[in-house]
Amino acid sequence: MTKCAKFEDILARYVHGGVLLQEKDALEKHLSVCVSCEKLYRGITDIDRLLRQMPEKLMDPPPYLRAKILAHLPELGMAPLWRRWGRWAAALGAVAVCALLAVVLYLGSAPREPRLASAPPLVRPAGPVPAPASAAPGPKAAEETPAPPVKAAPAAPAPGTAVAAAPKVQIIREVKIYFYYPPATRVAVTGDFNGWNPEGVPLKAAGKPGLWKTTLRLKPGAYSYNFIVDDNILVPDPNAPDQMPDGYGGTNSILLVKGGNSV
Amino acid sequence: MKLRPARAPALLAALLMFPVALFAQKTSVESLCRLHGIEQQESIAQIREAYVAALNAGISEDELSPFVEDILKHKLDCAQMVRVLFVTTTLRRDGLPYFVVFSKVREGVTKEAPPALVVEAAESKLKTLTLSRDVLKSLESSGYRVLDFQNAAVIVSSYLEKGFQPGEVVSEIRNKGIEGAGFAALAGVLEKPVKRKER
Repeated sequence: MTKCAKFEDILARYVHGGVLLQEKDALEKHLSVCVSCEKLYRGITDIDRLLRQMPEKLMDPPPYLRAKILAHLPELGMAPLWRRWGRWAAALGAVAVCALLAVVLYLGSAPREPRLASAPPLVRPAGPVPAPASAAPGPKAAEETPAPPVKAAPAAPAPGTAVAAAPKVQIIREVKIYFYYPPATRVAVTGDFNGWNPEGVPLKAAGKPGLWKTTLRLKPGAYSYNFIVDDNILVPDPNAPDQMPDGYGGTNSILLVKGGNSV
Repeated sequence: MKLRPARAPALLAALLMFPVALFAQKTSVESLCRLHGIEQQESIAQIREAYVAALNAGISEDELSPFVEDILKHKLDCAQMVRVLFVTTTLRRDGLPYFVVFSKVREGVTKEAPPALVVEAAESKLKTLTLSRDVLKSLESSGYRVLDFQNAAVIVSSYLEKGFQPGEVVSEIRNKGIEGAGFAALAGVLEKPVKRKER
């Protein structure tokens, strides 16, 4: 920076009385010897004087000027307290929730009562499976309901055990299940449709002695199932058109619930 | 690395949440194992690792936790547990219906099957479901549209378990159509789009 340039900076403040005493002395000395700076000083003071002589409110500033200036000013001062601490408070809140969750999970993992799905397992008969259906007078194990679009296992090739996933188009079909077994005092059906729940879906007496029935509402798919006789014997459905080894030494009956457009 | 002020609390919360979640899983699996007689720390660690892998694959803890509890009650040992969890995780990662394994294992529990057979049945499910995926992909390449992949995979796997070969299913459906080939259960989950000239 040249000497004159240094004094130009001081000069601007000098006009408005904003210089230090030392700067003022140095500037005045410089103005006494430097013609160009002295000329500049005269020019500034003249303009300043002329401006001061002008009447006030000669011209109104445009309405947007204030907003525009404020928008370009750097943010000064502190943000409100809630704004300064809000984010940290949210983070601390999240941490507290997590800690609470951990405690709940920890307590929840303590020993619990046996769950339904793990209730005492049913016993498969040691010998050959009782053959109730051989003497059955003929009701089909699972058959199409008259009115609703229910169809169970036609003569399609028998698939194995399977679980029906939820189809995108939710078609629910009613499937009537019949089971003829006069010695039974209680009959239920269990399978893929209820996660092989040991309690099963109970069958009701169908009017005729020894005949049991129930209605299941199922999505289209392939289901393996068994009957539970007197709460402790698992037997396959002797009238099901499809049977398959269950992989555990027994037999599953297969129920095919058709998809398609008919509802 | 300079963080923007708004990101710092979020990062802090995320960092704190991770160990909390891990701790919750750890205690849950560990207490379940101990409850059912698995005491060895190494075994518990292996089961926990398989459990976390299943969670990371996308199986929810709501589904997994009761399942693990069931198989622990059925006295599967550590290695068997890990194998069953591996099957479930693999199916989930491959986009196949992993819940089939849940059902098959519960069937074994209900029928009081030996644990070894339960594991074999689960692994057999993995095999047939993987093959059924190949069948469905072949049919897709032949112009068939799979409307519900998961359900279709379950039904195809049922036919495969019955004794059909994968190639046989594909060729029968190609030549005779779904119902014509006798695979009626696939009718709602698989369709052949009608070509314009066939209308």
